[in-house]
Amino acid sequence: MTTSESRRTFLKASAAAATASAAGIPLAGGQANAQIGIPDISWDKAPCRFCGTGCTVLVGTKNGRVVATQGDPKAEVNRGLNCVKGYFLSKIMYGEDRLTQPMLRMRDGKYAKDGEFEPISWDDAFDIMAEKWKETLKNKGPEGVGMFGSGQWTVWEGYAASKLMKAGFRSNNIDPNARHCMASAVVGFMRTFGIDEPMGCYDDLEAADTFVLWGSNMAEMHPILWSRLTDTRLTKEGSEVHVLSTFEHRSFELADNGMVFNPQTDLAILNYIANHIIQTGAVNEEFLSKHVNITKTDTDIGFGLRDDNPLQEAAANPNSGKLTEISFDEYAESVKPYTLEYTAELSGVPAEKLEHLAKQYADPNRKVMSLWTMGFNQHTRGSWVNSLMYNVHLLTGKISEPGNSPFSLTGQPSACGTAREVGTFAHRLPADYVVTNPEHRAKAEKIWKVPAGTIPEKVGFHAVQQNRMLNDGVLNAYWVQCTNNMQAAPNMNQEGWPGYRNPDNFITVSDPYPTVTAMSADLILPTAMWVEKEGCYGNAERRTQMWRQQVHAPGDAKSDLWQLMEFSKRFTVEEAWGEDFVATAPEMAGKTLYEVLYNNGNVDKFPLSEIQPGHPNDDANHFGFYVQKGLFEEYAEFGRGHGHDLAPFERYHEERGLRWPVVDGKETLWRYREGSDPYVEAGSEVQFYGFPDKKAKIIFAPYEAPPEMPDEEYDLWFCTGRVLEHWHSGSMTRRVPELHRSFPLAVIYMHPEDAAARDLRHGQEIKVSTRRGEVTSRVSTKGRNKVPKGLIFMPWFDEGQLTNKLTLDATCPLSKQTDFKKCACKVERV
Amino acid sequence: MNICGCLTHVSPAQADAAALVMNEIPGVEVHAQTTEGRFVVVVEDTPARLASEIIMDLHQIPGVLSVTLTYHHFEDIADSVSRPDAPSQTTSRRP
Repeated sequence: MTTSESRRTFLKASAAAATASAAGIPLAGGQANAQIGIPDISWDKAPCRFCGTGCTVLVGTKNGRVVATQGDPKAEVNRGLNCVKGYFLSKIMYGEDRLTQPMLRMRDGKYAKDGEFEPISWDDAFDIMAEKWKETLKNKGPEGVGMFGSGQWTVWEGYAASKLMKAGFRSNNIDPNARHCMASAVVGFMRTFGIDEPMGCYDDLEAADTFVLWGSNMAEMHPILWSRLTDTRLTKEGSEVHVLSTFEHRSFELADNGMVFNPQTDLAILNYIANHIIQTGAVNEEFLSKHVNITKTDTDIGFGLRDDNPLQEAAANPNSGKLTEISFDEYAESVKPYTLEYTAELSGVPAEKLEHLAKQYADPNRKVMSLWTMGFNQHTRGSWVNSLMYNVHLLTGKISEPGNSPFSLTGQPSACGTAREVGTFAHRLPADYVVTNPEHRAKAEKIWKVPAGTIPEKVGFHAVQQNRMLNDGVLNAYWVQCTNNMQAAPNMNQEGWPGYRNPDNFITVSDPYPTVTAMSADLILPTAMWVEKEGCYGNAERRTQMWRQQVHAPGDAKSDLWQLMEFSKRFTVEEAWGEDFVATAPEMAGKTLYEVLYNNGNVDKFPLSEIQPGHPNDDANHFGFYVQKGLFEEYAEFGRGHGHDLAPFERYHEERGLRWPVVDGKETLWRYREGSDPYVEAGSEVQFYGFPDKKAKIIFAPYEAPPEMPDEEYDLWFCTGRVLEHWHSGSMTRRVPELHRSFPLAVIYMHPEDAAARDLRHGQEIKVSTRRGEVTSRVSTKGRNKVPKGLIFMPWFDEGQLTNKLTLDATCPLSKQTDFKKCACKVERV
Repeated sequence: MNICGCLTHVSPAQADAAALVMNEIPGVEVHAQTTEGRFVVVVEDTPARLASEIIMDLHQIPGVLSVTLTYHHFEDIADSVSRPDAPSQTTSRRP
């Protein structure tokens, strides 16, 4: 046996042993009992860089490079497993076109909007960027500057960014890509419970009897949680899996009750289930009377389009989220029209399947876990449909206990930890505080040690509005970090692209790779990613987890945190705030934003000596203090004693994450339940303490049709989404050769009869068009997704086929989240 | 060079048939199989196909419900020199 053959055999034995050990399966020869260590590799833990599941991987480095990954057997989330994306994730740092120096559009040695990208130094990059931002602040004030961030920012990057915008530039024009992802889930939580994020946790995946997927293809998008669910289904007698979607996908393979419904009719199905529960006497009356208020929401609220859009002008109550208290009898009357017959007819789901589903929720002896992602959230009635889901769980009291769990899944590693908890939205501050509340602003100003009145009251531009305002020339200096929003945002042809290329605007994009967004910018800044910096993420079950830096970033790439803090050194408070405001706080005169925001006695409080020996920390060494700890501890002050308690910083480096609130060193698995949640008073059983009266809200909302439906010309539903091999826009996964090769180009999934009617065969080139644009692709009538007649599905990872040239920028009027799941299109032969 | 350890869930009724199919695929070795339908599978690159492609193919075998990885190694063996004495730069709990 040669050396390489023996090494290969050894590595294969290691792979088998690691797998068997993680699953508790004995191997012949007893290998599983002792995992084989490979001597020349150093291992350390890190959360995965991709979805919101929050798996921990062990990252193996050798000679300054990551060479191996292994599921972490000590991680409670993934228990030693990982999905195919997770396993190739170490390769995301080593794409051939990794950016290693700033690039500016130039002609004749100077910046030119229509110039070509040329490399420049960081100093020159920040010079031109600061010049543009100062010019905008002078001419337009704080409303003219903006930032677009990410649920992939680390906790401290999001926190530093939010602080820079809200207290530094005194502008609330900061929003994350999480707006496209789970804003409707947030609004659902805030309206129903008065506090964000799920009450349950992943332990429900073993405790439930029935699992219901509402607009979620967990098999491909959350494979690790899916494997836990599959394990329960295969080993727990009588357990059932129900799957609802507008097309048949891989999760249907495990479904006991698979249901394909007409787009938007999930609203009606949920009201039918509520009606069924009431009509069959399955209401938990004691729970309802003690813990729940009943309301209805304003209807006919428009579609979040521009105010002068005819659909928006026709709405009776545009953007209204007003709630009115109603009696139980009024509520029962409201859901009464949603009979089994009516709902089956409207949704296209056979009546017996709907009834089977409703019985799961109504049966007091079955524990039900409801799971959802983009199918609910990317919905012009997304905020409504989230609350309709809670209505069903509240009617039966099936909530906040093991196995009874309405559970909103997330798509990004820190959509919860950063975007939501840190408050990087246009209306939010950390720990569920909001800019519109004077007491909340005062609290933030005190913790941040900035003058009273620094944070503006006015809600900033949300994601979709930012692109509209760039297009209109209202927003002129704009910085995008850690996201590929040109590819991700809706209606790129009419809003995104003309906005970025508007000659009045200066667009900066920070990214590790030349994405579609970076190439649409004026200045590109190269970014350090994942284990090239110390980081912290928060997953979908409220679990906060940290990692240490393990390798150095290539070339001149710098973390988003470094970029934000260095840029803040370029501004005096006079330049950022204006002389008039500085006059109200003369002690700040002459200081830079860096001094005010980060050299404030909090962020710079912890010395370099506290960094773990043996680990690089390029950011801390650059600034001369333990910057990550300082930012985390200042941020944690917002949530402690306020239902969002975080543990001390060091604890997270020791644990595989902890679920907040962490009180007296203990994490919380089920919130609102006595004995599990320390915030619930003794003797009360359940307290929904997000509201002063400690009650949750049932919110009735009716079925309303979507803004654009198939008609004679555009005769098909157009639905967008993802595939297992790629993560969102593919900017990372398409650079992993293995993943790219396994799903190189997007295809359009179409029903064979629809294809035949258009004289199309599988694999043929087609043109898909909507009222907003057209894209060339290929048709697939086979494969993993089986769409019904009248609907096509397109994954949006492929930058060679820009899906968002086609989509409509209609949003939920309350959450401002785009409906990427439904508009009208047509398909023609090329 | 990629070597992957995969935990695969297979519907128990189709488990034996699925095992036969898997063992026929070049680059695939089934190391263990339980009565509940859990398989320990090792996948490696072959001259014709990458491990990742083979893993995606595993999903298409009738009865296969999920494929998760627990281990992935991707160093280039030809270039690798064993350095057992190199000091660990991390706080790893692993040897």
